[in-house]
Amino acid sequence: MKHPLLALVARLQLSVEIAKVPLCLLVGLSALFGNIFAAGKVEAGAYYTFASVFVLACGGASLNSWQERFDDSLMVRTRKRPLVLGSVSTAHGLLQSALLLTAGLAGLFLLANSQAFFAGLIGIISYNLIYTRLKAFSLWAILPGAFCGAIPPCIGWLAADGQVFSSGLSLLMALLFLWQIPHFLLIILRYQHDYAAGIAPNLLNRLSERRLQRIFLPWITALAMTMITFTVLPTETGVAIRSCIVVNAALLVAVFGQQLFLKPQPDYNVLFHLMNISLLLFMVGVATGRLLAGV
Amino acid sequence: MKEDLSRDFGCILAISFALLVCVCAAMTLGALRERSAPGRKVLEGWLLEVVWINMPLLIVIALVLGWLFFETESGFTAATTSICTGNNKRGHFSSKMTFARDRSYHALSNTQGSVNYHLWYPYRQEIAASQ
Repeated sequence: MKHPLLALVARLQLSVEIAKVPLCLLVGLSALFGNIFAAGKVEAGAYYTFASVFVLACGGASLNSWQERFDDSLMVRTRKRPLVLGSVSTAHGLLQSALLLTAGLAGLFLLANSQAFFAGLIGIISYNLIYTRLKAFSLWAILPGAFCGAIPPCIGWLAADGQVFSSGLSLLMALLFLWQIPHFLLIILRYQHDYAAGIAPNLLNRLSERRLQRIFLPWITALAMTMITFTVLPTETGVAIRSCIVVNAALLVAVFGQQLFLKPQPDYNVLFHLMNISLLLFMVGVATGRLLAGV
Repeated sequence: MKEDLSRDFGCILAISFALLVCVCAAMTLGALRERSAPGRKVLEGWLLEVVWINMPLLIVIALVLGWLFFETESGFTAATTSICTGNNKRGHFSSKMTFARDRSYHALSNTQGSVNYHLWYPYRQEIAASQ
């Protein structure tokens, strides 16, 4: 018989898996980025926002795992998830998501402000009620999906008392929106066998791989342009950091161009990781610039 | 010095926008050249590809328009104010097309009648502090 402590750890591991914790950590970090971008400093509120958004994202991801447990069983990429295998009961998944969603929203309301709370609520509604349902029958679901991805930095911005109708917020949202689309297209291309089977409608069912590759470069160039836009903002960011942002953006476009148009078969794994690293470096650069300017 | 810096990075931004327009045009042309056989499905696929190719350009244009809208005197607040009060203060749109650094400085210096005074938060506070 298994030791109770070991059983608890195993159960916790499964809960972590349902909640997609690594992904939610990135979501929390993007909220922290939005907060620092707005406030120009790191105060206790920034950590509260990070924690609340992280917990909220874990709740949304848990609910998503519960919602998609049947579709997940049809794809190689997701068929070993705990709710699919039955190693965690559906009631456990549902209860976990309810608790985390409540805790995340309560955290935003009590520790941040009502604007951040409503942004969080919109994020959850658009992710779990609109995107997750829509993606089963429309290839355009990727658009509300990208919108959900743009919400976390918006929560951070609002939690730092940033204005709702401002170019700073629209820039933040555009950045994440433009990043989400090629990111999702890369997931489709990395797991072509799953997506080509037509379990859920996607661009790969309608367009050839070559045509899909052609869609990438405009999105990546637009993303790079949005990154460069941050260098002309009225912050006191130093020239070195601004130059790094430009180089990061230029490298992103160059590597995508080289992989997609000069190589016979692009390495989608490399491109996928490159996109993640590039965004992370960008956020670190902008946040550092804002913080150093405040010193 | 700071103005020069802003102008330099503004130039890079303008170049990246030009690059985006060129990339979208080139990819659209590429899609057009591959449209080999006529037929409803081929046309649908081509249209879908063209829409997805040009969507980021439209988003960027919307972003630029939004930027101008938020950061100029004739911005969102002015629009809503004019709707609510019937007092139309629009009319400075084209003459105020500068980057945000200049805009926020302008907003700060114009304490009367600058309807977007509060919009470039929180940079406004930093500039106020530095002055």
